[in-house]
Amino acid sequence: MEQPDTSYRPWSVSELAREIRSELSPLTRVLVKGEVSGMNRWTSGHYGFTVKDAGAQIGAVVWADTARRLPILPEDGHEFIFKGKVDFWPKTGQLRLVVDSLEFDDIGKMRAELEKLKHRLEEEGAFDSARKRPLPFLPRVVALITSPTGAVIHDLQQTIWERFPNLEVLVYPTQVQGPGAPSSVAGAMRRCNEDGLAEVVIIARGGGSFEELYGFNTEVVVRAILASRIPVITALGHTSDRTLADMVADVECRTPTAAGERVVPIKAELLAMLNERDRRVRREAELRISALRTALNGRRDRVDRAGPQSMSLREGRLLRAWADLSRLSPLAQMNRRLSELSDRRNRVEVCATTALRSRSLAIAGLRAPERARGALNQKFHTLRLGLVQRESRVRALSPEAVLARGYSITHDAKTGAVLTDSSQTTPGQRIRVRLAIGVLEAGVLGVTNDGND
Amino acid sequence: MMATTDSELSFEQALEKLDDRLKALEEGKLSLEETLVAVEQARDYFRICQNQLESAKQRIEVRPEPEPAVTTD
Repeated sequence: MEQPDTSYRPWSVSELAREIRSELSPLTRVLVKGEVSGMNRWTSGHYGFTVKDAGAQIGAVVWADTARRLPILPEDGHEFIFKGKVDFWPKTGQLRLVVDSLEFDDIGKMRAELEKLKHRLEEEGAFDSARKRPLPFLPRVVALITSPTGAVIHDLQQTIWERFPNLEVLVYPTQVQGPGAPSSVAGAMRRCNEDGLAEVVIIARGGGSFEELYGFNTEVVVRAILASRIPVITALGHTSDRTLADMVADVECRTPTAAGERVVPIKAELLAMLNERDRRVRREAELRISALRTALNGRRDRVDRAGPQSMSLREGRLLRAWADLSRLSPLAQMNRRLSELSDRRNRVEVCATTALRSRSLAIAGLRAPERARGALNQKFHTLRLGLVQRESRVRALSPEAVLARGYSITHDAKTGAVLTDSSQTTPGQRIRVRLAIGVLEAGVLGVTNDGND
Repeated sequence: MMATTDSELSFEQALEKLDDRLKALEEGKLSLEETLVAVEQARDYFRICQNQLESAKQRIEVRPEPEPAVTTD
């Protein structure tokens, strides 16, 4: 640039401004320490504030782009060490520090404030172990509050699904560092509770410095954790300091992986545990059944007489319950398949046997009339024989048979009465004598009373 | 046999009840009728536990912030 001749021509203001800017070039990389005041976010998204010490002050700006990557933002009343350059605004005539990065200068002061908040929370009982909620034994849905871009989410997801393949994971993406982190984390906590889907919440990030973890020491995050109805686990990485968020969380883990392990049980272990119970129940049922059977054997006859169904019915129910139990066991699935197969084979055999038996019955059925006839004939024969025997016995006892042996029967011819005493007659009386064959019409010639005559 | 509230039991609660029945069975002091009931109940609780293990689906859902975070002044 051509040097203006000061003695002849004055600089224009613009020229002066340009000159000032160029003279400021040695101040493009400065480190300056000062206290922040008048922090203000402009509508453009940039931040303006004043940095001062006891004897001087200078305007400062943090561009919106820069603010997004900063772990912290300047805060009124705090001292920071700023790195940046000094620039001049020709239009307003202002000199400002353009901040590129900053760090706490007064970490001691920050810690003191942290201690104050911690003390307050302690008095409220926020750290009491009695206040802490137990984690669900088996959460159905796990919420993750974390950065959607980091490795944390991948690690957590992997840990959870390795342990329990069918588990639902809800991700609430948040800023985990920077000026937006506190309200972002608190907002995610609130939404997670409003949704009410998750049974446990993991707040995770991959560690960081005191400044980077600043958000987890803010009251807004602490209050959001305290207000959560859902149990909260922190996993903020390997850091030397516990954050207040760690202290109020229901469970505190170091790494996201550790949190995953703490929250999700291993499904295979649960299944093994269940199967062990299953085996024991079945064993007890078996023992009980065999004990009952032994006890029953001694009294079987009596029991059978008393009520044969009731006992076998109960035994049947017990066996059925036990069979149902074994059907449910995954380990017994194979056995079930096998027994189903053998069941089917048995059924086929039973069917075959039944079919065979019914065939042979059918064949036997064809011969039935013949057999009936035979049986009938036999019966007739027996009856006929009986009749003949009876006939001969009747015949032997009949008067005719007696007459055939030479006896006769004498009747009074007039009255027909059988005469058994000679005195019943008088000479001349008409009588009728019945012989084996034919009848004699006769008269009484004389009467004697001597039967032996 | 199973109360309706039993279906809402957590895995842990159902497992606890299953263990109760198992303990009663293993003590061997139950009558036949009680043994039947205990075995049936153990079976029910076993089924609840198993349902709890199998009911969930592997799923990941991202629930984004409704609007970009506004930094408070």
